[in-house]
Amino acid sequence: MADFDAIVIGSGMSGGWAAKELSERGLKVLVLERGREILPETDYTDNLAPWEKYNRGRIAEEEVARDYPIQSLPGYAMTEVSKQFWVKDSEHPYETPEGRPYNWLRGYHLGGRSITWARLSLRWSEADFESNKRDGHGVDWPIRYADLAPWYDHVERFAGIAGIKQNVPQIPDGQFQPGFALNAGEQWLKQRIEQAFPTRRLISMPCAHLTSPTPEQEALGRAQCQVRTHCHQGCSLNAYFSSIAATLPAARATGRCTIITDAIVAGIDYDPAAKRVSGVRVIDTKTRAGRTYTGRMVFVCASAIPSAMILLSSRSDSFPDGLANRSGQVGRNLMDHIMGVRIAGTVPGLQDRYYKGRRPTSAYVPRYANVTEPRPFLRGFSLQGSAYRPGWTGDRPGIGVALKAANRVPGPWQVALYAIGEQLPNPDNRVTLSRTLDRWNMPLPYIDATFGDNDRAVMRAAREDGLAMLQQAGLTDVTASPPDRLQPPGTVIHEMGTARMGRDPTTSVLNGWAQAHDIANLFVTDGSAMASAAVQNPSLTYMAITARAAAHAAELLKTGQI
Amino acid sequence: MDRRMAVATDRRSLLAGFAALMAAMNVPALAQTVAPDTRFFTPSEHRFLSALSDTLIPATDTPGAVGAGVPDTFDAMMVTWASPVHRAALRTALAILAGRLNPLAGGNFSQAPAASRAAALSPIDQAAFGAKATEDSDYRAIKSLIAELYYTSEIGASQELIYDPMPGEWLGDIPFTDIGKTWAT
Repeated sequence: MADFDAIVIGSGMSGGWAAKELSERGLKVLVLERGREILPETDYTDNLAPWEKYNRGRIAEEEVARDYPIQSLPGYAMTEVSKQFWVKDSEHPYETPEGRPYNWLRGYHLGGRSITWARLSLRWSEADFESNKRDGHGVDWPIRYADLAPWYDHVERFAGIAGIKQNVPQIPDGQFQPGFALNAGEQWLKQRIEQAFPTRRLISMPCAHLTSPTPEQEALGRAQCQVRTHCHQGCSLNAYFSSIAATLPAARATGRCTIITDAIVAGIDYDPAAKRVSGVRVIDTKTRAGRTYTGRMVFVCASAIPSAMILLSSRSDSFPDGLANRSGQVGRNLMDHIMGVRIAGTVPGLQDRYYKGRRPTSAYVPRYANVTEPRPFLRGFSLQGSAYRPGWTGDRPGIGVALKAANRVPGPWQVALYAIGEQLPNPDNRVTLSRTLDRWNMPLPYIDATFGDNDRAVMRAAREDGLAMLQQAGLTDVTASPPDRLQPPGTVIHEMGTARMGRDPTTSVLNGWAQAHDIANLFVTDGSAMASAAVQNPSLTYMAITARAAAHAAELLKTGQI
Repeated sequence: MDRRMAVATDRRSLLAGFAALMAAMNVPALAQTVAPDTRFFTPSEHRFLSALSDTLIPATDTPGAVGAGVPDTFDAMMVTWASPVHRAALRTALAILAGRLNPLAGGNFSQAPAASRAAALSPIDQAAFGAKATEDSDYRAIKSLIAELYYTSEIGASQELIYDPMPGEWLGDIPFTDIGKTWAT
């Protein structure tokens, strides 16, 4: 008899949902997390005032250089009081080809990047699922929007999504709690952009924050968002969705979920006679002791790069190229979103308007390229950002009384928008096993990914369009980042594609249930499953795919099919 | 909106400034008598830093940088945050700035009255932000750090400006007069 009905590898965005859905359906579940336990009372620093932060929140420079040379690059989430949620590069290296950097940004702890994510929660539309079929890049998604819509409903209701119904077809409206309205500068910008470009919209982005907690959410110990945007330090109110705040407590409440931290998965065992996975081999990170847990099914939810590594490392006579890798696609088609384009400008007037609160979401121009406007390149981009009034700064002329007086008044309204582009699937963008081993004798990832011609064309258009939009809207001092300067892949922290869904087992790893074509009790439901990237922040889609897969897997178990 | 932490302690500019000035000037070696405890600056350097901080951000209807403990915080962060290279560059940049300000303030900037210090610093500040791009990046970096330490202090954030640890609601379009001052965060 197996130790568990289901073993879930990973406790982040996807793993938390697998644990909840499977245990709520009566399964005895084991969650394996390679990182440490999270204790909000010590790990969360959201209640610190600026002057209470060690070094005012700056990480010691030598420490950055030694421990966080890559993790510190994006900057926005890495401070002295949030560094506990990011790995030390000095302890967790990986390999890339010379001259082809990849920024692999992550943390190893319970809840993973569901603690540090940007909480932006957008649905895919039907057109997104059709992209690969339409232009032939990648393989056709085996599901469509109609398959996922009820699961978007389900995850949104549980997670709590603050949004405003805006009837933009390419971003279907969801099950929303009250949303965060655009501010004065953004309302001005919206009116001007939509008038000058009737095929484009500017909206408020739905985000995974509680603005009107349901009884279910309150029962889990979650409170209404207090509009502080201390999110990257953890939220003691559990006001935004994370595994720690929501799915893992729900799983634990069933009494059927065991969570083991500090446990690295060395491999998944396959029983060739049964044609099923039978268990998971684990290494204790502290003692290096190994043991195997047996299970009637396995959900791989370790995020796109580690999940691929686990499958590739799980070789057997039946699967010499890695578990479930008959297609050869495991580790391939690694995608991220594309970034590097920033457009900014100054709004004339509105000096008598301001705001209260530190809003935890952004303004958004949904993708219009090849949606409402045909373009010569494939796919498209979105723009996200905000209007804001700059606060105090020392980087301005004036000293003494004049400097204090100047800083007492917020600066003129600024707009800053960042483009997010859709990267095409490319089988040569891939992660493979390095010959170099880590301290647990596991191979390091070798990550080899670059952007292609269409990717660059998308971002060129985003830059040109962004400039034109801000100029025609009437902003002054409009600037853009240098042309053709993209951040290395990985920087958006939306890795996906490494065990893609598809209709054909010879060209894909999973079917529409995120179930391995060749192994009925193996599911991979994190970003690995994505057959294409679209432009939407992907976590909400991972949640929906996971919940749908878990419901299906539980049904298969109950009806004796696995 | 997220406060960007990368305010202008541009280590590269400090190093560039340091190297360029060393090449251009005959800078006398500074006696490096660091006190045995964790404080970084010598008493004389600390006096200059205090005078500079006070000139940049004086007491008005609210305490200024000295009242908010900025010189001590700056000093402590040289030990707990700055790299050895950055420490040396900042120490040198402050010494060079003192060298420029002293003659403009009647010989000793640290001991000059407030009005003389302001009169001495003002042209340097104007030139640093002026259109002629002398681009005094070292001075701008020091000024930015002093301002940051002031406006992230309890006095700077909650007395001089307005700080709300828990806004509780989002109001995106209100009269500025409802708030009346810049949000500290």
